[in-house]
This record gives sequence, structure tokens and C-alpha cells, in this order.
Amino acid sequence: MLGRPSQARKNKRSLASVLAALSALTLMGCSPRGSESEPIGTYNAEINANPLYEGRNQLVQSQQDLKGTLLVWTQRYQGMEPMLQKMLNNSIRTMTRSFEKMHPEVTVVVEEYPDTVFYQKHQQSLKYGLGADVILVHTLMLSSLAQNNLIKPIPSKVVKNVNFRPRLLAQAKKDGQLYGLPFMVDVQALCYNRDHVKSAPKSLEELKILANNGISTGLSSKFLQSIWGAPGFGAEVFNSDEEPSMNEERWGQWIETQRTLDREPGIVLMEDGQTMRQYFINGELSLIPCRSHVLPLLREKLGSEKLGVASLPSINGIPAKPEIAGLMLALSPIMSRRQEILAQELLLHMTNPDVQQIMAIEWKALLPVNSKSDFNRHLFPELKQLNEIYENSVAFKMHEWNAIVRNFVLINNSYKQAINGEIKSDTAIQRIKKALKKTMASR
Amino acid sequence: MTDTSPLDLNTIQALGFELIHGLERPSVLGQLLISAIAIASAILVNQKLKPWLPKYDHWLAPLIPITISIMLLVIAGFFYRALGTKFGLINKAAELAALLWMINYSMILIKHFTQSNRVNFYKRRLVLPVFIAFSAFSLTDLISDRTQVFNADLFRLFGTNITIGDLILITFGLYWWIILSSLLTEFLQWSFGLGSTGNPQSNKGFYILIRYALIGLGSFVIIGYVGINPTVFGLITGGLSVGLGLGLKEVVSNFASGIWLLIEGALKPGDIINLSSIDQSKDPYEIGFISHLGLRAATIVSYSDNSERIVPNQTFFTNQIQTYTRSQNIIARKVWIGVSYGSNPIQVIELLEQLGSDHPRILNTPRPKAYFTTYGESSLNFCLKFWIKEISDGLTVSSEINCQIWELFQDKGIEIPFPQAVVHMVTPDQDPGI
Repeated sequence: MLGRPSQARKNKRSLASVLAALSALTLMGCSPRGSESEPIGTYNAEINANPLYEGRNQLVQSQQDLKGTLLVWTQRYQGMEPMLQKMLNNSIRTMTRSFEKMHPEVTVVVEEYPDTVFYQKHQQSLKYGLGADVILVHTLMLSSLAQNNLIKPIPSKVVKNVNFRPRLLAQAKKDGQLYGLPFMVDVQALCYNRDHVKSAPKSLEELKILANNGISTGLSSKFLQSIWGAPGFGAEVFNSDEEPSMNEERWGQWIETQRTLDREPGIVLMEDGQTMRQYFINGELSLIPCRSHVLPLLREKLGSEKLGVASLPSINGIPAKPEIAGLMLALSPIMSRRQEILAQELLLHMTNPDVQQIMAIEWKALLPVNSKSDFNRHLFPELKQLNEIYENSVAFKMHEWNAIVRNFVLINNSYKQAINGEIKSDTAIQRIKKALKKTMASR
Repeated sequence: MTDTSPLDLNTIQALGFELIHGLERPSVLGQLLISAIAIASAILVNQKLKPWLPKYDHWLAPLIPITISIMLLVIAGFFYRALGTKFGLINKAAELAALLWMINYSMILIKHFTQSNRVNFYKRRLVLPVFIAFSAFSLTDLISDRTQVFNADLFRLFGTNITIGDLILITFGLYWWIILSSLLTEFLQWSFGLGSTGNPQSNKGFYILIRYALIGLGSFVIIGYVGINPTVFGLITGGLSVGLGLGLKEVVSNFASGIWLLIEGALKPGDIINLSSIDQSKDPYEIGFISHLGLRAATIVSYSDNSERIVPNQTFFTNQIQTYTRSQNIIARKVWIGVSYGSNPIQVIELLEQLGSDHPRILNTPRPKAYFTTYGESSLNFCLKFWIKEISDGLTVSSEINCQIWELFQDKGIEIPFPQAVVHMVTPDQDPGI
């Protein structure tokens, strides 16, 4: 009788051990890798089917012998259309899955947080020593993150600078340190409806003529979205010494031009880009400025044969110079040595030409971040056009972005008031310049 | 009905990976180690201190180790901060310890003011599990996104996606709601009492009905929140009704009987019944009181040996029950006595009635009454009938009355005879017929 309880306890322990072991096996065995279907594009499938490519994977695998778990945090953008968000998520998943294929003993967990809480969550997690190893952030946030030690520099020996577009890398450099690797480039183009417009206007004059002939045109009244026209009047935000250099007179001319355009019957200045896109999709607007990342949506809604993509019109013979931004991959400042090696490898993988080309072709809208990318242009007809836009674009440096971000509300409000005629353009530009100078002086 | 899907453990698996990933970081491991050392040291110090604090032990016992833990964790936190390393987890451990301290202190205060033994029950069954769940949720939020984890689909059931959060709500949520319903009912009972008028036992039954109503309401709310299709629910219930009718007939019958008994008020917690009503083999005078009337069965405590009987509710519904507390709480008892044939019956009746009236536990209304019942073989037989309020006191009062009668009759010279028989022995010599 005395032996019974201990026997029962033994049985219970055995049962508990078996259950624990089974649970662990289930956790280890049911890998999430195979649970999601990968959107394999033509190019992706072609590369994966190439036996030579497979062979290279084996070589990399045997050489590096990486193992462990890696945590990647991405954002769910509130203002982004679900289709584009899904495409972005799929691209990231495809890349991390291919990384896992190359390194079978590596698991990459991708987690998505709303952009409204993303940076806060990252900051909070770091206080505990937790959080992601790799975060995907907007270019304009890189400086704030670096200033607050929320990201760490990428060791120079890891990155081969020649593999990347130099101006993109320059956007992630501060005091000689590289804080992010470009993952996605977003340029500003002119989208037009081919049913309404035979060819895109090359200059602002042509645009005005089209508008007068009944072609409805939408333009953005926001500061960042309308920077493209300022160089036409010799205006700029920062000079070559990377200091605020907003000339009141020249900017005043551009602002006045915009106000004149707004008075044209066929042109409308709008603040909300999403509404403008919706009017374009509905056929109520025939010409709008558009970011390259929204091209898949416009193509889907309007039809690829109807959608035309061109450079924004030149002004006074000077090509439009929109700003370029995008997404950067950054490293967490708190990682174990093994996680750091894995994170660096993942960064290189996600930015290597092969993987970038797959993303570019799947989106048919995104430029690869690499300096040399050679692939079948038929799969991405707009590539040449977007490359041209990129070459003419303005790429703000980290501290320049920082100055803009810190004064975002003031800049937008002042600019809007000037466009609306509520205050003089001189006053608005002085305010903006003063704020930018103050921020840059305090860094 | 066939719209189901296999179990999807991807989110739980990812959570596991994130946990392992976090533990791989030296800063995380260091903080966890420091926190564990602080808690272990606190327990050790508490054990060493225990003999020195016997007087206050019952007050301080749960607070001492937690207080020491908090102090050690705060010191460790300052140390980490001075070193410039991450100390969020140590802070979190200190915060949780502080919360536990407050819970324990609140429980001590509540117990002190209410003097209720139920405080410990609710602490064990409700408050501590909620604290553990809160800690688990907080830690989940640290290593992952709590919202994503709890909103992740686990499987599909009858066209409804069941998430991890839903599963927790259906299981732990329902369990907590049942305990909470009990607490709410007891709080109502404590606040409003059992009523100054009417029958307190009926009011007790009313509170039990409130509790069941709360449980039922909570269950429906939870099922509604999860979003299980009510049509499917109806179909399942209909399909199972045959099974219920056969297999669970007794359970359902007992449950229905319990509810009916409470509504009708025929039997309530605290009622005193004759145990021979439910068990023929019992002494016909053995009584017991209903200590608990549950969904399936009632618990009856016997006065004779304090043993407890779990009796299915159906028994009360189908059998004839003798209760002493249905509408009034008084009971009549009788004491029989015989006196010798030489005694004056009028005097005996007066003495017995006086004795009954003088006893403090015998009610004056109705008055105690003595009767000359029979001419016995060797005595004149009397009976004293009296009423008492405390039903369980019947045997004691009867015994006291018997003793007093003996003393009184001794004083008054009234003989209490014992049965006498005259035996005539017939021998063969005396019978010429043999």
C-alpha cells in the first residue's frame, strides 16, 4: 500500500516527460517554413530551378555552417493599401525563406508591427535586452534611430560598397559609419492614363497645355512631394556643404508657380496622396505624381496597358529632381555574437543582386539597390525610366533627413499656408530654413 | 458541420523560437540569472529569519520573502544601471514582485476586516491565477506581440476561426468567471445580508440562483464573443439531446432538481432534515443539516457524528423528506415518565408542566403540556410535551428534563417504579392431573 503513491507519482512523471518531449518534437518538427505558400515569380522560379544555383547554395552552406534563430521586425503601414502591404510582406518572406534554404539550421522569424508603435516597441524591447536583430525602417528614421543608439553601425568589412548604388549608401552614412543597408528604393514619377494622354508632358508648359485641353491633372501641395520642381528655379533645400540653403526668392517663385497651377481649370493641388490616387484610378484625374512603390496597385486597378510612367516634367529646361527615399535594413545594438553574424549574413542576402532582382521583377516597380543589376528588361519595362528618375533625384543625407523629420509639422504647415496664400512665401521659407538650421546646429 | 481545420501551431512555434532567441542574448541571461538569485536569496533569508519572528509570522510570512526580493532586485537594477547595461527585465521582475506584495497585503487586510476564511480560497483560486496570467501576458508581450499571438488562428471549428485568445477565454476565462460569480454573489450577500425579514435560508437560495444566472450569462457572453455560430450550437445541442437523454439523464435530472428546489424553496442550505427520509436504514430520529446545495448534489452534515453525506438532488425531488425548517423553526419533543400507583396524577401533571416552563431552552409558547397517558402494568404513565427552537438540541434538552424529573420526584417523594412481575411456580405435586 505504501508503494502505490510513489508508483503513481512515477507514472505521472513519466507521462509528463513523454508529453513534454512530444510537445518539444512538435515545436521542432512543425517548421513554419513550409506552412506558407511563396509567391514564386517567373524569374524566381527560373533561378531556383537552375542546378548551378543550387550547387552554389550547397557551397555557401558548407562553408559558413550557420545556425540559430534570427528575429526580423517589419512594419504594417497604416496608410498603405493592403495589396502593397501584402506584396512587401511576401517579398520579405521570400527572401528570408531563401536564406533559410541556404542555411537549413537557421530559422528566421519575421514579425510585423503597426508603424504607429513600431519604433516605440523597438525602443522598449531594447530596454529589456530583447527585440529584433534586424529591423526594416524608413530612410528618414535612420538618423533618429542612430542618435538614440537604437541601431548599431554595420561593420565596414561586411559590406562591399561597390555593390550598392552610392547615393543610397550615402543616405545611410553618418560620421563615416554605415547605419543601414538599402533594401527598397522609392522614386517619384509621373503616372498618366494612356487612354487620356498619348504621351507624358516633358515640361511644365506642356503639362499646362494638356490641362487647358481638358486633361485633368493632380499635383501634391506637400513640401516633400513638391520638392521636384524647386530646382527648376534654382532652389534647393540643402547645398553641397549639406547645410540648409533655401533661397526665399527662388522658392517663392516655385510656390507662386504652384499657386498659378492651382488656378488653372484642369489642375488641382491636393494634400492627400491617397485621395489623388483614387481619383486617378477612377479616371477622374489623368496625370498625377506617383511613388514607384504604388505602381503595382495602379497597374492592377487601371490595367497595365493603360498606365504610363514618366519623369516629372522639367521646369525652365531643368529636369525635375524629386527626393528619393525607401526602406533600409538596420541592425539592433543588442545581439549575441552568433545573432550578429546571422544578421549580417541576412542583410547581405536580402540586398544581393539576385534577390533584389527577384523583388524588382515581382513588383515591376522597384529599382534594385545594387549598382550593377543586369536582367531581362522585358520583365520590367519601366526599369529604364525609373533609373533615369533615380539619376536625377535628390538623396538627402542622414542628418538632412533628421532635420526634416524633426521639423516635419512646421515645414508642412508653413508650406501649406504659403501655397494657400495665408502667409507670404518669404515668411514660410524663412521659418523652414530657420528651423532646419537650428536643428542641424544642435546635432 | 464539417468545416474544421487541423491545428495550426505556427504562432506558438514562432513564440518558442523568439523565447529561445531572447535567451541566447547574454544580457537577457544575465538579467534572468540575477532575478533568480535575488528571489532564491530572499527565500533563503526568509527561512533564516523565521525563528526570530514567530509572533508576527502569520502576518509577515507571505510578505517577507517578497519584500526582500524587491529590495534585492532594486539594488541589482541600480547596479546594472551604474554599469550602463540593460536592466529592463530586472525592473520587470521587481514590478511583478511589487504587485504580488500588494496582492498579499490586500488579502491580509481583507481577511482582517472580513474575518472570512473564504479570502484564502479566492486568493488561491482567483487572484493568484490572475496574477500568474498577467505575468505570462506581460512576458509574452516582451518577447513577441501579444495582440498578434492572441489573435493568431489555431483551428477552424464549424466555420469559426478559433484563436489562441479564444481558447484561453473559453477555458481559463470561463473558469475565472465561475469563481468570480461566486465572489460577486458572496459580496452581494455580504453587502445586503440575508434580509432582516422573511426566511434567511430562502434568501441564501436566491443568492445561489443569482450565481448560476451569472455563470450562465457569462458562458453565453464568452461563446458570443468567440463567435461560435449559434445555429451550429443549436444543432449540436439537438444532436446531443438523445445522448443526454440516455447517458447523462441522471446528471441533467439532478441539475434540474437542484434548480427547482431552489426556485420552489422547498429545500435550502441550512435546512434541517430527518436522515431516515433519505436512508431507511438510519435511526428514525437522526437529523442533519444541508451545508451546501450544489448543481448536482446536496451535502448533508449529520448531527450525530458530523459525517457528511453527498445526496443527489433528485432524491429530494422524488422522495418524501421530513424537514424541520420548511416554514417554522421550532420542534416538539416528548419525555415519558411512569409513577407508582400511589401517586397523585394531578400533582404529577402540575410538577411536570412547571418543570418544563422553568427550563430556559424550552419555549413558553406553545406552553409545555403534560398528559396522563395510560395505566401501565406497574405505573401510571405520563408524557411531557415541550417545544424547543434549536432542533439539534432535542436530545440534550430531553436528557436534562429527565434528570430534573428524577431529582424533583425524589424531593416530592413520588416513586418512579420499575416493572415488577410475580411469578407463580407450578410443581407436579400440586397438580393431581399429571
